[in-house]
Amino acid sequence: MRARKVSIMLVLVALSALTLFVISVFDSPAEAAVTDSGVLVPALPDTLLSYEEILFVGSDGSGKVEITAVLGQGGQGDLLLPFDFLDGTDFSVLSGPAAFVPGDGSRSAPTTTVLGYRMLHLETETAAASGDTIRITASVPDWYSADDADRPYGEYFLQRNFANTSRFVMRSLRVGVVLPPGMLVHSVEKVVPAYDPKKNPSPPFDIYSVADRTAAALTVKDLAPAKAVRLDLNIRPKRRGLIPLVAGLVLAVLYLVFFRDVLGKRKAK
Amino acid sequence: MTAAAAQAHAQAILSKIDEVLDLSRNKLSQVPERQLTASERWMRYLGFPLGILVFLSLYYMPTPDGLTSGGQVVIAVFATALVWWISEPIPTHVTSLMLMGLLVFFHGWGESKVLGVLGFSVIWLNVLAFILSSMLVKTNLAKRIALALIVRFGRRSKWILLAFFGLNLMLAAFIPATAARAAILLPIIIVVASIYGASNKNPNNFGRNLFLQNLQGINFGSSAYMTGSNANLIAVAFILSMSGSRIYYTDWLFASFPVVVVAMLISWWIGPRFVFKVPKDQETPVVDGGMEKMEEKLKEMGPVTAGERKAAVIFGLVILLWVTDKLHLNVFGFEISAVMAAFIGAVIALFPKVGLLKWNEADIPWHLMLFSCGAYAGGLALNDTGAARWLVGTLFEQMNIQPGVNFWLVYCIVIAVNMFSHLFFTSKTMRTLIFIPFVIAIAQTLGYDPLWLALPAAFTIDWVIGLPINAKPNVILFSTGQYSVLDNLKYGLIMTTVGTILLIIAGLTWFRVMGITPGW
Repeated sequence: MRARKVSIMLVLVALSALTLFVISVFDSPAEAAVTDSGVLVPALPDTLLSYEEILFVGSDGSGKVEITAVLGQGGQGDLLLPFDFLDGTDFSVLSGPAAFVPGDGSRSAPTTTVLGYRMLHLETETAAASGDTIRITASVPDWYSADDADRPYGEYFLQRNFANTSRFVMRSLRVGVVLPPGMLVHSVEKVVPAYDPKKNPSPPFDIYSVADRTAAALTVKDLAPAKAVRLDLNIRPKRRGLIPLVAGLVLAVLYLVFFRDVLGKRKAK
Repeated sequence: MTAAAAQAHAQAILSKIDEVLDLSRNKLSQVPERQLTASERWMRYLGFPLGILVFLSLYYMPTPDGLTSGGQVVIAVFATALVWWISEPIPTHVTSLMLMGLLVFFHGWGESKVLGVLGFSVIWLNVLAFILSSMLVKTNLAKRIALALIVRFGRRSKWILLAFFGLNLMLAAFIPATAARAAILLPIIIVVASIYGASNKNPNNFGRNLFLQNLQGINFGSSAYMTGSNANLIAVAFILSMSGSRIYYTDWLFASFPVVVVAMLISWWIGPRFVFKVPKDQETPVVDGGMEKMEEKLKEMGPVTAGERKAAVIFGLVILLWVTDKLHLNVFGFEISAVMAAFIGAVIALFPKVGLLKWNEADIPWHLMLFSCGAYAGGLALNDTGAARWLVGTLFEQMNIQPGVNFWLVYCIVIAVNMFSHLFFTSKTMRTLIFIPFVIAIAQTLGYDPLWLALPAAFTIDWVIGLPINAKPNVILFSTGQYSVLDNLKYGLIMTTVGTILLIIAGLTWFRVMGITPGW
């Protein structure tokens, strides 16, 4: 009787050990690879080493977008890149080991829609490797309408969005906008992801000049798929009104005339 | 002299002491009037149009790369206000109001943000500190402490000045909030100033030395200890996170304490001799009969009254909360900030039957609160629009510091720029957040150990002594009306230069021994 109990217990222990072994095998990372030495390691995520999308806005509100992507892990073959604009024409691969794949449905543009998001569809050459740079350009008609973005103080609102709808982790992302000629950035109203100067001494955005035009760009590290960034700007014409100049000079002269008594000996408050 | 005449003379002297110590005659809430010198009158006359010209030139210049036009507006407005604060063509609080208005009208900063400054904790702390200060004055506790201090150290004005430096150095070790230290000392300083004949209606050079040396003691006294101010701790955190160098309390203490002590001694020595020369008649208390009469007056006050005891308990409670701020979390489960500690004290002080003060007896200089609001609004707008960061970045860029430059030249530039930059900032924390990362980045670019530049630069953070707008204690002490903005600037610039030289000498010698700067 006692020997039977012991054997049942041994069987239970053996079954438990087997169960644990099976769980440990099937519970390993979904994406895994076996190295040459036979070691099981998690697969690396697909990456783009850097991704830059700069939009040049014309005086008429039309835009020209310039995309520069540096391939990283898993960028070979079918390459779908974000193209978050309502319309696009004049698509062109300026340089790099990639070519457009003709668009889906009635579209002539090399774009396709995945889960409701518009994407640029490219195919890289078989020899394409990590570190290769692909430069793309496209025109974006009617991107900005200043009339619809009118604000007090003679300013206009401009929002630059970017959503990483690709499968790649973007190691370094730069999203920028070159303002229409004659405009400049009055203030940066909002930045997503939010910026805390106590944690990061440098702001994630910068304001600079491109051929006598003002530009603003947001730089973000390691943007994961499905994450978005945003730069909200208040912009205004470069030329300032003359009222402050006239009012200031008049006030200065009036003070010099009517406050001459300041020079006399007196107790002043 | 007959016995009756002698008694009458003694009575007259004692009543003169009463007159001197009657602080109700010199209320802080009243904007003081003072006699101007010829140069001050000219500055006042030309300051207003000069401020306008400064504004117009900065406003209409092409917006530089890297700066928003909103930031440009803020720089223009702040520079104008600086000109007006220094030249005083209009009262300083009116300049502040104009600054706030200009920020809104030219859309440098949002209206809600500008108006919201009045609710900042620093303004609350000022208001509450003045309520507590009024309580000490009303109950005569401030008078008793001041008389005791005078009797002990006040035979000559120079010893009382030195005693205050010592007091500041001691308080800085326990109370990290500089505004709190100013609040503690303010009533005592006012009484001591009165005894030496200085009041807001009749400021004198002893008063200028007393107030401005206390301003210095409160501010750069904090530099002696790593915990002397929150900004010091932020700098240490930056040095650790950006360069990996850990600074210990004793590292800071052994390096900076001697510099601070020497700076205090230099200030104590040059102030009454050269900066604001104290005439013979101000070297001793103004009251005939001198120290004996003071002792007599102190004795006449008798034992500590119930009111004084109550004031001491209320104020002691506030100080206890200030000193033990790090323990609050363990004891109460939350932290009582410096403002809320003062809040508790002020509520008790004003509570009917329990407290000691009626609202009408609280001497709160509201013009000073408006002045503070303008200074903070300008400073915060500079930070918020990125203009301050742009200014600092451009400054370092213009210097074109390239690899291969002699380390000591870079060291001198970094110390001088950090030290004098305080004139354009209204918050030490902001200055730290902007400057220290820049200094570390410069060191890394040039291939130096970041510690060599960053820690000495951190020692300059608390040297905010040039203008009343540069720090909270400056605003509190400026409220007394015992010195002008120009007086503050003059002494401040002299001592800032002294501080710069001391830190350079320390960098070449003492810091080398300690391993903070590169050795021989």
